[in-house]
This record gives sequence, C-alpha cells and structure tokens, in this order.
Amino acid sequence: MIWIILLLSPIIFSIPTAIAWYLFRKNLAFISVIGLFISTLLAIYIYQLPDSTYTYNWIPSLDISFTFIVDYLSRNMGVLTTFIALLIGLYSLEYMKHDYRIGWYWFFFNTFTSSMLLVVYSDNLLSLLIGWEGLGLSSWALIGHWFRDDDELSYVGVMGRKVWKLRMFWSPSFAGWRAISTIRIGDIPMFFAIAVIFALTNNLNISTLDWYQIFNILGVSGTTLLFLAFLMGPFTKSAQLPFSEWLMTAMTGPTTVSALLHSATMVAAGAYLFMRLSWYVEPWNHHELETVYTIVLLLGLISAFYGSLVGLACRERKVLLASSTLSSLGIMFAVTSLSFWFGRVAIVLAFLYLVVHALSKATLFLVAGHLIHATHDRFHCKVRNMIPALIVTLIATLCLSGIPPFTAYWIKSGMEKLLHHLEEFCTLPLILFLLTSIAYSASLGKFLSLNFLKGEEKEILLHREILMPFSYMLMCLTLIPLIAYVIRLEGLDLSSLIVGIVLALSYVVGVIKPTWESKIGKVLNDRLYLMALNDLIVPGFGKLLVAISYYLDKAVDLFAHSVIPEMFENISNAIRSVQRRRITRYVEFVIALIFFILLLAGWFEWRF
Amino acid sequence: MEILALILLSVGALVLLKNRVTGIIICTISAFLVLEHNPFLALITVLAILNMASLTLLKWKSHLTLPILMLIATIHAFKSNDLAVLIVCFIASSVPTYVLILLSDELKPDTGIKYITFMVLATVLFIFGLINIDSTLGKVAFIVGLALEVGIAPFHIWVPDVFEEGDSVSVAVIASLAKFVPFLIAFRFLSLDKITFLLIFAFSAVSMLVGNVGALTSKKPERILAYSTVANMGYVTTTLAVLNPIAFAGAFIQLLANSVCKVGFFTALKDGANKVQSYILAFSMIGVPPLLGFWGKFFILLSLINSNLLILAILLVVNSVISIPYYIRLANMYERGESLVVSAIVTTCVLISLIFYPTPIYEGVVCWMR
Repeated sequence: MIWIILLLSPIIFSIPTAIAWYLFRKNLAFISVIGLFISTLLAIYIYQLPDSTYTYNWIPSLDISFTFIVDYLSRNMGVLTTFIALLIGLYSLEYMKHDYRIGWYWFFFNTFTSSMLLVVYSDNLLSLLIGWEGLGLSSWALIGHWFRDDDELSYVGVMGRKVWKLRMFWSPSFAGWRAISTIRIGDIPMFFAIAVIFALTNNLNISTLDWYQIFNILGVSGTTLLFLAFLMGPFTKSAQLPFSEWLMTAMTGPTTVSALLHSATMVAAGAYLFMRLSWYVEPWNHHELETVYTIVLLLGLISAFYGSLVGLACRERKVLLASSTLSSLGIMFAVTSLSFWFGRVAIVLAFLYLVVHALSKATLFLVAGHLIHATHDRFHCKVRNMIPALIVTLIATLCLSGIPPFTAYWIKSGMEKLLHHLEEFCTLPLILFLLTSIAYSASLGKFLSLNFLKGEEKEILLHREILMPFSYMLMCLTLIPLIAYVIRLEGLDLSSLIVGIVLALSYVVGVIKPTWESKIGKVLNDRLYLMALNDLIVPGFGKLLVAISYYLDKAVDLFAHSVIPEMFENISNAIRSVQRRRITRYVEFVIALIFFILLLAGWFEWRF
Repeated sequence: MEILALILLSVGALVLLKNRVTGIIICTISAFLVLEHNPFLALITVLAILNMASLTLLKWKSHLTLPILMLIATIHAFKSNDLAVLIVCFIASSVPTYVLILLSDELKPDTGIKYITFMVLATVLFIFGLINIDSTLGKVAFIVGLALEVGIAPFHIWVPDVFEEGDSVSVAVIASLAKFVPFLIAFRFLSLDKITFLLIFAFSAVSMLVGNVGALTSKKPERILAYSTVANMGYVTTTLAVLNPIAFAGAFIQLLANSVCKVGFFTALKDGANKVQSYILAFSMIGVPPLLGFWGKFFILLSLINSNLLILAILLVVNSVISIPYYIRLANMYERGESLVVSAIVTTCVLISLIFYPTPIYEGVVCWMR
C-alpha cells in the first residue's frame, strides 16, 4: 500500500492539472506539488525502515513479482529524489506560471519523479525497466516541452550557425527526439541482457540473483559481453562518451526540467543502477569482471575529463552546467568501478558524490533558471542586485568543486586515496582525475564569475518571485549539514590537502579570469564536434542504407519487371520460330535430329 | 468380350450410316461391354465416350466408332502382356487418328500429310525399337519413336501445326486417347541403363521447358493447347526415369487429367464454354489441389523425390509455376458457352475427378504395372 501511494501519488495528483489546467491554472498546479509532497513524506518514512525487501506478486506463473528493496542506496536515494523533486516543483509553480502547456508539463514532471522512484526502489529488473522506460518517455516529453520551437530562448547553440555541414543550433523538438533515440540505442542491448539473465537464472531480483551460476554458464567472455550489453543502458542514460550529445542539447527544455534531469533523476539513474548492480554483484569476488570494470573506469574518466574541458569553454549558462554534470557522472562511474579493486567503500564514495552533486547541481540550475528568467538571455551575462542568488551560487560551487572545508572535498580526497592505491594502470587514472577536478573547479568558478562578477551587464526584470529563491536557498542549505555527514569518511591528509589547495587556486583563477579567447577554446566550446556522430555519421550511415536499399529495390524491379519477362519472351519466340509450316523443313529437322541422337548414343556406347 | 464388342461396333458402324442416334447407342453399348471392374479403366471408357460425343459435332457418320475402337485397343493393351498383341494394340490405337485428322469440316490434306508422315516414321522407329529393345540401338530408336508418337520435345515439331490446323474435335482425340498405349508399352518393356536414362532425362526436361515457355507467348488457343500437351508429355516422361509403381500411377493419372482437360478445351473451342467451366479446366491443368491434375503431378513428384531425382522434381514444380499465366490467359479466352451438351459433359467429368478420392484410381492404375 505504502509503495503504491509513494509511486502513484505524484501521477494521480498531476492528473487534474493535466486534464483541466486551462480552467484554473495556478491552483491545479498546486495539487501536483501536493502529490510530490506526499511522496516526500513517505520516502522519509521509508528511510527509517530496516533493511528489507517487500514482494508483491505480479506474474506468478513466471515467478516475477514487484519487489521493493530498502537498503543503504535506495533509502538515501529515495529521499534525495523526492526532496529535490518537491523543491523543483515548488520552484516550477512560479517559473512555469505563464507557460502554454502547463498540463503536459506537470503530468510528465510527476511521471518523471514516479518513474525515478520506481527505478530507485525496485529490486526486480522487470519493474525497474518500467521505471526506466518511464524516464525515457518523460525526458522526451519534457526536453521537447516547447515543441513550437518559436522561442529563441529555448534553443541551444548560436542561432543560424553552421560548421561545414553541421547545424550548430538545436531546437527543443529536435533535442527531445535526439534524447529518446540515443537512449533507445542503449536500452535495446539492456533488454536482451535482462532476458539472458532471466533465461539463465529464472530470477530477476538483483539482490538475490545467483551470479556464480551466470558466470559458470557464460564464462569470461560471455559475462563480459552480458555486462557490457547491460551497461549500455546506464551508459546512454548517463550520457557517457560517445553518447553525450543528447545531454547537452537537453538544455532546450525548461530550466526546471534540466535541474531535475541533471540532479536526481534520469542521468543519475544510470549511475545509480550501476552502483546498485555493483553493490550486489560484489565484483571484488569475481575475477571474470576485470575487463568490464576496467572499461567502465577508463570510459568514466575520459568522459569526466571531456566534460570538464567542455565546461571550461562553454558560453551558455545551462550548457556549462550540463557539461560539468557529464564530468561528474564520469567520476561516479569511474569511482563505482573501483569497487572491483577496493570493495564496497568505492560505491559508498561514489554515492555520496552523487548526493552532493545532485543537491548542488539542482541549486545551480535553479539559479541559472532564475537568471535566464530575469535577463532573458541564455548566454553568460552579468547581473546585479541578486544577492541571494550570488551567495547560493558561491556556496553550491564551493561545495561541489572540492575545496577543502566544504562537502565535496572530503569525498574527493577519499577518491584520490583509492586511485592512489590503484596499481594496475600506473598513475594514469589519478592524473586524469586530478586534471578533471582542476578543470571542473575552474569551470564552476567561471560560472560564478561570468554571471555575477564580470562580463557584459544586462538589465534584469524581477517579478517579485518568492518561491524561486526560497527553493534554491533551501536546497543550498542542506549542503552545509552534509559536511558533518561526510567528514567522518576520511581524516585530513597532507597530499589531498595540497590537491584541495590547487583546486581552490584554479577556482580563484576561474573567478578572476573567466574568459580567454583561443582556438582551442572554440573547439572545446563546440564540444570537439562530437555532435557530428549524431548529426552526420549515424544519419549518413542511415542515408547510405536508404540509398543501397533504393538501388537494390531498383535492381529487383528491373530484374522482375524487365529482365525475366523479356528473357522468357525471347526464349518463347525462339521456340515458336521453329514452326514455319513447311513439312520438308520439319522432316529434315527430325531426320537430322534422329541421326544426331544415334551418333551421340554410339559415341556414348563406345566411350563408356 | 472384346470380340463381342468389336462385332457390335461393326454393327454400330453400319447402323450409323442409317440412323445416327441408334448407332451412337450401339457404340456406347459396345464401349460398356469392355468395361472392367476397375475405376481407372472406367474413367478411360468415360473419356472415350466423351471423345465420341465430341466427334458428333462433325458432319460425318461412321467415324464415331473410331474412339471406341481405340478404347478397345487401349483396354486390351492394359490386360495383355504379349509383345505381338501390344504391337497390334498400339497400331490399332494409333491408326484411327490418321483418319480422324483428315475429317475436318473443310478438307486439309496438308495437315493430314504432316501428321501421317511423322506418325509413320514414329511407328516404324517404335516397333523397330520395341523388337530390338535389348540393344542400345533399339532402346534409342524406341525412345525416339515414342517421342515422335506422342510429341515430346525436341520431336514435337509437328504438334503445334497439326493441332492448329486440324479440326479441334479430332485433335482432341489425338491429344487424349492416343497417348495411353505408347506409354503403357514403354512402362512394360523399357529397362533403364545409362543412355536411356540420359535420353529420358534430357527429353523430359527439354519438353517441359519448351512446352511451357512456348505456350507463354502463343496467341491462338490451339497453339497454347499444343504446347501445353508437349509440356504434359514432358511431365509424364519424367516417370520413365523412375519406372516404379508410384511413377506408373502418376504417369497415367497425369495422362488422364491431361486428356480430360484437352477434350474439354478442344471441344469448347468448337462449341463454346462458359467462364466457370474453362476456369475449372485450367485449374485442373495447373494442378490446384482437389482436382485430378493435382493428383497426377503429386504422384509424379512423389516418385521423383523417392528416387532422389530432385532436379527433375524441382524442374517440374518450376514449370508448373511458369504454366500458370498462360492457363489463366487461356481460360479467359473462352467468352461464353452456348451451354452445349459436350462442354457440359466435359465439365461433369472434371467434377467427377474432383469427387474421386485418389486411392481407388491409384490402385486401379497400379494393378496393371507388371
């Protein structure tokens, strides 16, 4: 019962808004937030339940059931998700007040939250898939929310810009389509992997799956393949390279959507699923998984490095935040994969980083939304007279970048320790990680600097918002007590302290000198032209297929409609042309044929 | 009993000169005199009576006895196992067609000469080969004679012209009743060795292809039917490469199906048939399951596959597919029938073949395999 209310209350409460929002706009939107509030309360209630699983029959004949699990990961993640969704919901009440599709927005916003909760709490892979697909659907709906493509403010990229054949600006509807198509590419291998798991073990509950059996049946290469197929889902969902482009263009959605997408739902779902899987697979007991975890480690670090570099060069507020999200997700994946060498502590570290990242990134996005709201410009520009926003941004960026006394520092020092002890790849992962952190904190400093301290100034139009500053301030405040929670993790360490100081320095450099024109910067601003993969290479491949099938089609047509009939016609005419109605010719023909056959028979008899 | 039937037939021939109806009745009685307790021979009897009925469309009189004479020869050939008797039966079932081809509404000696020339050549080769069947030369001569006699490609050269120029009801007899005895003798006396097998293989494959592909672009219905006969002879010839009971049954059921439909089509050319009748005939020729044409092809295919002659089986199926367009075209050529007796009888015969479960026919044929 509690689970049904938890999962369905956001959807049910959003239905009045979805159906009749145009009658009483504001009041009905409020009802949806009530649904989110109920979910939050229930998630807090679930937080204090002991570790356990709850099973409800679904398909008894196949022994598939809805299984909900309460453990370290899910109880924290549930509270985080509902809390962030509630605050963003409150924010949206004001932010989306004058929108032209309020019903659509609230329905899919709440579906988004519910789907994420299903992903978070379900132990069964099949019910998890429902939530997973719900996330994909809602992300499509919300990223393409402004489907009319009429507002320049909702685009990503400079309008009308073209590099060679690439259109360097993306409309909301295009971005929505790109998001769902990218995600589906990863989902399909994941479906097959789940099917294989079910076929081999007759069990879909992550916590009770018999992994030894799977490893015994499939062997090393089979297991590697199975895991990579399964992880294609999280990779595309969490926008790891080379699937990162959809995340950047997802900024065409309303800022609240970006905030939700980038903090606790959607992209976090991929990382969360990988953590949950690692938590129960216990890779430190399985040597078969070394290849998989190495691949994830390197992929995560490279994505992180790429994300932070792009973040350094970005000119749009939201795209900067999006690329820093990509960077954080890469770090989460990489650190989770360290569990193969160091055990569960790596997962805990990655999860704590997820929490901190979610809260601060949501805060930053809400601030960015407020700025866009006030300045009507999606590029960086300086604003005055928004002191609360400035303070909140300062706190959130400090907490996120890993500068000594603040939250992320303690987590990052733990990660550095793990990477330091990693013997397999010399110091490459550690160096990549440090470079990523430096670029990351510099890009956050740049965000602060360009929006509040430097750059061209812009008139702002404040509408006496109350809920918007309230919600991001509240969210920011939760970051402070988290320090007390994470400080237990690691004691002070000299080397990590030095790293922290370097990070602080780079942050300060980012604040003081946020812009630096260079060709490299331009290329990075264009995200290394990775969108060519989405916009040229894959469609080019598709066009090639279309062309090939067109010519095949033509060939079949030619063959079936001209070559074969004409061939038969000619043969038939040849056969009939023998008939000349002259008996002498016939007799000659027959006699000749008879003698020919007799000769042939004689030859044959003589030879054999 | 056959002697009695022959005497009655000569009486019938005399009566026919005076009174047609009585003569026809006497001829029919003499046909029923040779009726055996065997479903397959009964169907051949029905076929002969249908031929006789279609011949009533010609203005002459005593020629109506000729199909009954051929019937008696055919049935006697089925019962006999003696070489000399079979040769007599062969001649008796072949010579009446020489007369029939000359009996058209307007006299065409050219056509008759074409036909008779090749028939005489065929008969000479056939009998020569039959007597020397143990030697290679004899076998080759026998197969060539058979090919000339029934019109297997590449010795089909006389078929299209004769079928087109001859009167269609007399051609119907050539296309139907005259085909049984040569194949029967081939099944009785032919034994396979390498050269025979190769010849039969080549003849049947060429015959199927030439017949079906030749018919594809033919315009006149007579020519289409001529090429279709060539193709059907090709199907039947494939069974000579197998020579076992199933092949025997397949060959004769296919011959029967071919004969019935040819009688129907040729008579309808002279007399008209409606669309339903012509389509039923065409479907039977194509081999649509419940009809007799299907069972012929079915048993032939079965025997070919059982003997591992997959190439011939595939060729047969491919050719059946090629034949579909021209049969449908042929069926469309018959505009409307004046509901005359003969085409109705033909249609009834096809319907009977529809109702028959194939087993009794199969057994009726197989019991004559020696």
